[in-house]
Amino acid sequence: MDSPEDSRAFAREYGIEFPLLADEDGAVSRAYAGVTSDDNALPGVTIIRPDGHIVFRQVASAKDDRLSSAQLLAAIDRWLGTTGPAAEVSGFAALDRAQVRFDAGGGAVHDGAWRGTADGAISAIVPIGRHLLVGPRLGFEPRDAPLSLDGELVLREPIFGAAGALELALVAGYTPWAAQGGDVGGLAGIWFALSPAWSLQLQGGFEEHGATQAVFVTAGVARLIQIR
Amino acid sequence: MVALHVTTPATVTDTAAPFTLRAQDGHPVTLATELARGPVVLVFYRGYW
Repeated sequence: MDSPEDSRAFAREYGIEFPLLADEDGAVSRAYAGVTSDDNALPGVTIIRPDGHIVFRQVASAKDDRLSSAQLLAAIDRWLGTTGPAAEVSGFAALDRAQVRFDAGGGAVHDGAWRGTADGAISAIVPIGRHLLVGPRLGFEPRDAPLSLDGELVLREPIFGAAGALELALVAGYTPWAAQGGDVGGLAGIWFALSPAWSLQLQGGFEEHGATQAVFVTAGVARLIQIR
Repeated sequence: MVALHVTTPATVTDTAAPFTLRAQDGHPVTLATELARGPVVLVFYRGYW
């Protein structure tokens, strides 16, 4: 079981402000949720009314059976008569989780003159800190180079209660096809969640490919698929 | 995958068992004190699962 010191580090990492209680001898876990034979608490949720009466109890036999945040909020609303945010329909499910992301969009690019562009990308990124993700990216832009192999570092900050997000990204890699050479770029974007997995995004940034430099603005859609 | 024997509570009562545990700031948190302020949602998790 975690000590208060472990909990302090965990709370700091995730910005948690509610109490994280350390059940160091497991007595409360045994009374409420149960424990495994290797003395780990089972994941579970208990909702208690102010008069001490338990109105909801759920115990999961494995981590995959845990209630989702949306299910927990729905249980709280149902059993305590409150009205919380509609978590199922707003916000991103995978914003800061290990994810595969598909992007497709179009806009304008300026590399001496403005012209139209279309672009797409597939990336697989994993969190390395709060709202910070990193991973490989396969980019596609027919105007310039068919494909580029990149790594990307992404900083995301939820806005409007995770109904949207601000994103800053650095991308660097290599284009082995038509216009061979290294490429590097940066972009800033604002996203609006259409569903937990789909978003509308507006982005702007710069890119340098070989001796060519350009700035771009694009609009598009992205799909986030949580993989863990 | 290792199958673990699971021990669930011997008796499930309708009334929450009292407890006092230390929070991340080291201060004790008592269920009865929290209930005096309103409903309590108790979530058992494992931080670094």
